[in-house]
Amino acid sequence: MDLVPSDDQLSIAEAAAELLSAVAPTASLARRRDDSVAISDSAWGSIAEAGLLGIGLPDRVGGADAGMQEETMLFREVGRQLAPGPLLSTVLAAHIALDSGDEALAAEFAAGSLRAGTARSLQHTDHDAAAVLNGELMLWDSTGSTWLVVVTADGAGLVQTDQLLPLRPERSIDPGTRLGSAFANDVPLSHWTPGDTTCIRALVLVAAQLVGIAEACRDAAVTHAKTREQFGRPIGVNQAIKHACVDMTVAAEQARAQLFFAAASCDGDLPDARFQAHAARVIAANAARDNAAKNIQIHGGMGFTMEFEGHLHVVRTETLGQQFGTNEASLEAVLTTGAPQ
Amino acid sequence: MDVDFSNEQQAFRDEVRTWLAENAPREARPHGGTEMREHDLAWQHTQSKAGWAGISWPKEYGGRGGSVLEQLIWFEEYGRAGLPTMDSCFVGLSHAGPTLMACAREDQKEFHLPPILAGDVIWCQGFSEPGSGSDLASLSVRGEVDGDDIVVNGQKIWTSYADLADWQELLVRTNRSGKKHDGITWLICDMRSPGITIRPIETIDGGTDFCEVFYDDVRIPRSNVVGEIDRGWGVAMSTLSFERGTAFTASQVKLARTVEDLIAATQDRVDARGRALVDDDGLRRRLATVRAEVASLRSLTYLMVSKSAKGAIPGPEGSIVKLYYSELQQKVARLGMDILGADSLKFIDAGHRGGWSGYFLHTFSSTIGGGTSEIQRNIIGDRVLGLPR
Repeated sequence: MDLVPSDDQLSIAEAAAELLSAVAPTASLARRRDDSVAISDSAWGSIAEAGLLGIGLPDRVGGADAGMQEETMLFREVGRQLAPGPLLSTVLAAHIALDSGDEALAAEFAAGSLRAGTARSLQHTDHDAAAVLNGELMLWDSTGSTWLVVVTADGAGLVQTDQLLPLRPERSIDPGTRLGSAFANDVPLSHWTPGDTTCIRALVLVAAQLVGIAEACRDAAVTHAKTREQFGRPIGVNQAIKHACVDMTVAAEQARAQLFFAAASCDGDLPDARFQAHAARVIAANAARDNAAKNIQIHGGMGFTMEFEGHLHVVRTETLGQQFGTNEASLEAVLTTGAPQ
Repeated sequence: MDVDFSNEQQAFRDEVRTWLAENAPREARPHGGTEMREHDLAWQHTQSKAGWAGISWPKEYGGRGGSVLEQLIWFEEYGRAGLPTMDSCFVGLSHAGPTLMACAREDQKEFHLPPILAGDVIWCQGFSEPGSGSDLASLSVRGEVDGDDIVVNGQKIWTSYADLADWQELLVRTNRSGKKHDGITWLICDMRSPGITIRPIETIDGGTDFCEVFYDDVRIPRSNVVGEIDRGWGVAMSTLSFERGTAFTASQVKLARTVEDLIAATQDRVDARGRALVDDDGLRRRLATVRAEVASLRSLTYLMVSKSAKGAIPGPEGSIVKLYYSELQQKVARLGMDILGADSLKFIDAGHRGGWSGYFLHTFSSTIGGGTSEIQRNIIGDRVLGLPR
């Protein structure tokens, strides 16, 4: 038993953080607000070239042959840096292609030459009808993406974006995520893999981003509490502020620990990995929401401005929170998947 | 990262589990008095004879010298077996004992450590005073050097099991001239010394473990000073991270069991309209939340223990676990009141084996004892986050 990330895992995180802050800095989100695609081609190219999309894929499709833990380290930084675009959905698409035996397609996603956004049905779907898309759909980062992933607890598959025309762009609350809507009428998914393997991976990697967000908010609030002066002293001397920063720390640490536990459980194929993943998702979502709110509060009036990046943590948390299953669904799963071992 | 235990560790776990199943006391732990003292000491004695006492004590002091992972496994199995934590032995095993190891003279160690491990004596802690709670260093019980003795006068409070204890780790003020942290002396106090009066305090859960202790010209031999006169603060602080992150492990495992028991309790209970509680969405949400939170508490402990196993000395991060555990325990206790409904109102005192109300009331102490949650937040804010004071 060892929950401390290895040196290799830490260096993945470090390299990812460095690259993401260089090619897709948070400030670029506002600049690209009116662009049809959230991430620039050059940023996408750099990320793909660095091999970040293939970290958890086998080397025969151009991956680095690492596991969910290494992907977790990457996506924690994606969350922390608020990196835009369909990074997670493209990684999931590669796994879906691989799991369904289409290694050529998996290699294209791993290399970044194809991108995948996300489609989620907004209506209830029966278990046995999960491989067919029907009704109102919400789309994440479909612009610039040839494919879309559909991830459910019953299975996961792919659909080509142009099969869902007409596709209507929607204004998104998150400048780093493009939203769209579409309507599907009996559109079958390709590369369908039954079961919740992809869903569990999605949960853990969403949790990873949420943990990164929770940590970033804590760090921003602590820095502000040390430097902002009122009544002649830094505001962090006041317990009302200090203890709020501490609560953010407890939430972030708790979420980080559960995230690592879940990722290691998945890599180790432990019997309660599913429970641990849902728990990680629930805990991380609460931490990200609470910390994002407290960060804005601690920044006072400045916290409410568009200029300050605190709101970006809020909107990314919400946008991610709906992308691959909801918090409510994970809460229910925590209760129904059986007691942790 | 890895959440699996090695074959060797697994074998150790099996050994612990088997031994506990065969040797743990079968009778319920008495709730107080000399019966509880005898029960706790007998159980400690049994552990000691079998070589399980002092799992975290170094071998040179007769302990098991277990690795931090073995400590974790021991406490997990202890909690899983549903065994009561032996609060009366806690100070000796986890505070006074380790302090003596770190700071006492050889003759003091030789005299005092073996009986703690063997289950022959109970130690209590004389730290808090009516005027010195969170601000412990402001303590004012007087110790005056008089020949070969130190003469102690004043009052301590919140001393658990003072009425059952043989020895006390006692902090007294021997010097008032300098800063408050200077001028404190750490003494070994014989609880049968003339001049000591002990008065139990009844707590809201019906317990009488807490005591007030009054000192009226109590003469303690100067040879019972641990460390140096006026340097007792450093002595008292020397062992705060002795358990290397495992301190709450058994309690956490018990909390997890309690949550599972509550989930089971919703299966066969109905509300006033005859609906099964298990179908109540509000309760389901709360149960799911605490189940996930209890899981993350274990993860937090595993993360701390992993760092300890790599040689890191646990710092104030331990406060994060303490803070989180104590608040989560209260949340679970409150949820239990809702699930058990009117049944939860029947007062059944201490030890929640007999009922829920004593447990519910008892949990109010968890955010106060051992450093209030507010003080824990100050510690984390100041020492982990480096926020200005």
